[in-house]
Amino acid sequence: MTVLRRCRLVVCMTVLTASLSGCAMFISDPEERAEVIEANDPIEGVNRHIFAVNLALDTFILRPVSVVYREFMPDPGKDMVRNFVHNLKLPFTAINDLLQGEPDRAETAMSRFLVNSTMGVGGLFDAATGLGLDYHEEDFGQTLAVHGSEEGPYLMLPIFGPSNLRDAIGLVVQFFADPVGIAANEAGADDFGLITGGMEAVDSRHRHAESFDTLQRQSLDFYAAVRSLYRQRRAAEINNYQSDAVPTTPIASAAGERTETMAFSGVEPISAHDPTSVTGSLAGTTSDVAPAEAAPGIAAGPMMAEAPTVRAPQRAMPHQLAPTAATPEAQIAALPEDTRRNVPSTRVDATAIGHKSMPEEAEARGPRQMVSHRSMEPAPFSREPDRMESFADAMRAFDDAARSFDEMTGSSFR
Amino acid sequence: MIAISKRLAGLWPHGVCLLLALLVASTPARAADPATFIDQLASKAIPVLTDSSLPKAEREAQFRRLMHEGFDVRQIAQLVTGRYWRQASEEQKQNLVKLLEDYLVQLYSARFTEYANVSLQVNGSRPEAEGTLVHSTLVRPNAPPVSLDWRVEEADGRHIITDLVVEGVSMVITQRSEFASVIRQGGGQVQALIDVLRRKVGA
Repeated sequence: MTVLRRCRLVVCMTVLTASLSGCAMFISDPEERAEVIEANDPIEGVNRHIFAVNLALDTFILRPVSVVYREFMPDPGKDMVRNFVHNLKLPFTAINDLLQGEPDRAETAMSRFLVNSTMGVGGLFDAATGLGLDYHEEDFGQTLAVHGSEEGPYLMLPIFGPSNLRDAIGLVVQFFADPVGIAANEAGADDFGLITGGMEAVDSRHRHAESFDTLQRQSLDFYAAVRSLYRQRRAAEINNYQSDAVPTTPIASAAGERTETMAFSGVEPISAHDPTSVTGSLAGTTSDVAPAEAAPGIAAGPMMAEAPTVRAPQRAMPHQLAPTAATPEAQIAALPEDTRRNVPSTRVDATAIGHKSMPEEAEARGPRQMVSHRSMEPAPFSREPDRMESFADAMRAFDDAARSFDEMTGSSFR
Repeated sequence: MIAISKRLAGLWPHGVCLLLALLVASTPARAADPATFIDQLASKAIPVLTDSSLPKAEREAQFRRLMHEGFDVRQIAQLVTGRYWRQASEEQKQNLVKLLEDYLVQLYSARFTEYANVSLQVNGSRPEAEGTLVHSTLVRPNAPPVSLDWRVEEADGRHIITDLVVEGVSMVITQRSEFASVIRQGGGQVQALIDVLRRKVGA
């Protein structure tokens, strides 16, 4: 148990460091404070080191393996790998759907699991998407978020990549609670999780090679870009982001049919939802939006004519949208109800930084584009309680996790 | 790195998005309705920029010209550097604007042809606290569609794009947090960002 204790000590220290150095209240300049809050990265130095290690692992192991995989694994084989890995995630997804109060989505996940495990030969083929059972993923971090848990400080995990305190706790919970993992353990297949994890890593690295490599090459600060993207994507996933679900005004028909699709090069756009492709159709996941697959050169045969993930309509949980730490609640509250639930949290963050510098320049350059930034300016000090609450929540979540850990392991560290 | 590459998956269409944003922003508003405005301009801009019969240099030149014409790069620079803008000297500001323009041209023009067969389907719009949010879907052959939300504001009788949200990821926020990080890493000096940009564009 000493190893476990030591691990927990490390986590404790991390949280402590995080809460101490992350106290944005000591920063007097409101803009600088907003910047620190937006980055949400109190242990940036440590995170950057871990990121460097992760990148090295990627460069020397994952990337070469995925290149070999791309070259030598035939496309149907690649699809089987992804089908198989996805299928095994469904039971835990269903549990999380239930915990999030989404029985319909849970049912979809379980039906898909049953269909693909039987008709799909143990999950190697996807027979379910053709039946309207689209793939989606939910993890325990999202469940925690739906129940009001704040994200806590940003963390770069070794091997697992970008995360935060809440999602890291979610990973630990998943490790112990995933029915598939438990079943594999019962069956004595100790390395099962490791193998499927490795398969997923390689397959996913291959599928997203273009976007990953492009971002790495073109970004000015790869670490900061990843951090920002992770937070924004995560907020969107928690909200099961889908812009179509937002109530919208249809386009005024000013010039004939307005809702038509414009095929820019005269090529008929392929219907994204193709019910005829049964074995080859693999649903995307909520996190796996995989635009990289559009990239030329990546396996994009007809097999890939995927059914898009049909995500459930927005949940009406305004406070979930954004980390409270970075959300001027007052502003959100000021918006109309239907707007409030879909404000991408990021928009609010956007206004928190940089607005101070606008007016002087705006005077000289006319009013355009400055409007939103001026009027959305948050009261500088209204943020403090949120911040503290966030850390209190994080600590509490950690506390709870540690307690259940105690019960599970029978240790008495505290 | 599983998680990283998965999260980054949503990033791919950023190129075409910003490209669209720039073009759309550069055209005076003829339609009163922001959704129609996005719709019309996308259909006008994309064929030109994805025309693979044009040489690369030509497309790049067109792109740069469009940026010059109607888009205030100085304002973007100001937006993405936030509070550091004020600390910069006039010379630094000018350098920054120039380099940012080169960076954007380089960043996005390389990918024009890769979007040859995409199409943009405008779904509708919704009034926001500020301006309007226009929802659209980027339809791609053999790949899942991508959700794009355009934040459109009106000023001086023109429609302007103030942000683009790709599958929940805001362009403005992403770019700004990256720039701020570069500046912070460089001891809070705007010069640090200028140097990094200069290295990136190879100027």
